[in-house]
Amino acid sequence: MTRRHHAPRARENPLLQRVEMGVFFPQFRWGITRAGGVEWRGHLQPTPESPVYTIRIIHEPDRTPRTYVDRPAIRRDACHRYPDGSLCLYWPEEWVWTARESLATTIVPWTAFWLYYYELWFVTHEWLGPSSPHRRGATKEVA
Amino acid sequence: MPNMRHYFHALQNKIEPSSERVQLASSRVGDVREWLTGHEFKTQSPHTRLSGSYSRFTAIELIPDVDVLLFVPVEHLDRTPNAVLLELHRVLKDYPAAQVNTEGQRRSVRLELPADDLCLDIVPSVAARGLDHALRVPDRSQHEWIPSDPLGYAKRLTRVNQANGEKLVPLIKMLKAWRDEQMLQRRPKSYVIEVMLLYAVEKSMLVLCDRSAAENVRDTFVYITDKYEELMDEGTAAPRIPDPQIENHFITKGWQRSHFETFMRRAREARRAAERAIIAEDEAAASSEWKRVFGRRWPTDDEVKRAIREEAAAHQPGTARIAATGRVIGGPAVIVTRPTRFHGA
Repeated sequence: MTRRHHAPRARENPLLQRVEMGVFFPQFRWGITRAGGVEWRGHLQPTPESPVYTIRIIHEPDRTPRTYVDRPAIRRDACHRYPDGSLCLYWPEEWVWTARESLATTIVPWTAFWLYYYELWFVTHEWLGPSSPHRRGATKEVA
Repeated sequence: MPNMRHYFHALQNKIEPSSERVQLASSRVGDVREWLTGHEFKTQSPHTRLSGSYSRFTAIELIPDVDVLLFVPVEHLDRTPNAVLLELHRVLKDYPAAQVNTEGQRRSVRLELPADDLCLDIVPSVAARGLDHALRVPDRSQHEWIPSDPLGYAKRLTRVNQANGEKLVPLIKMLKAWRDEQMLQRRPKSYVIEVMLLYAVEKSMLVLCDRSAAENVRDTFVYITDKYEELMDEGTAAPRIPDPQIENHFITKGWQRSHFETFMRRAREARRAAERAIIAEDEAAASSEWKRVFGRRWPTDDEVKRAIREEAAAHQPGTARIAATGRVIGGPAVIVTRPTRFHGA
């Protein structure tokens, strides 16, 4: 029997996101979570006439970042959200978070788009952004 | 304050000249240029240049007339304005399916194209010092070639528009739509509205950046009604607004006192409605007030939804950029985005 020796996988370091976040979205501030991850807080405003939304992103090592809108409150019937209220920003069958990904080029811009489509949904009652071919009632994954 | 962005976006779509109309106006100018070349009317590079609201993108809806600068050789300055205008009239009188009119035209020959419901006002122009300086145009009533700077004025308007978040031109269009809705007769010319707002923005009497379209329209009515309040309530004349293209000329020459009073009454009504709209409790109440201002031009719910769908289609992750503030719309779009598909019910 051949035994393979794998080097233990290096733990993701969420602090590495600071550089790009500082460049692209300098209004976001970070703090360390109890679990050793990073909590980002900042503002996004998808249009000049939108409210300024307070966004919170919890990024724990080796876990998919979770994004919440803290203020103003999101309507309970808003679509594309997980049961814990975090935003469903991508279809996990199509894209997955890895340590090499960047919050500043994925999660944060997608959050801005989510807010934009959310506001349009208010008026049209249609989600006008791209959606996964999700079946209503299918099991939701909590990231 | 209700968010009326989509309504104003739909209003702007609604009053925009159709692309077919724009294309038609453009192609007719080319036709006239070819006709003149074929009939040995001597022109000089750049031969023709569009002028007027159509070229400044402040035209709305039908575009009934298009101003065309026709560049003629500098030697024409030795001739009388009338002689040059008559020669142009003579060459154009055989233009197919058209009528040529010089009556009431001080500086141009009007070519009416009834089949297109379009008029071309053709202004012979001499660019003796190049296009970056004032041109010379004929003036029948003064019997001389007078300096006029339509190209400089267009650049000035563009510059001010860009410096103000590209909000001035849409505002001019909306005010013209209000004027068309509220005043069938006794109304100020489009150019008067355009210049009035240009001066107001240049002098920072109107601040457009970082304000919604609704606020900008409200502020414009506040500005107009405040600025001319004394003249309206205590005066006996109409305002005199200097022409930004021609020195010592006033663009309000034909604006009579009674016309001005009508304009002010409508502006005061619009101000009151706009102020109520801004503090309305919800979009429906605000929409009802704005409908008083813009009348049948105010978009229906279906038109609003259509405008929203068009806007959303043009702003998709993976193709649209966003601003650092998270602005998908209305910000410096510098951050490239990656495609995604939102998931979940």
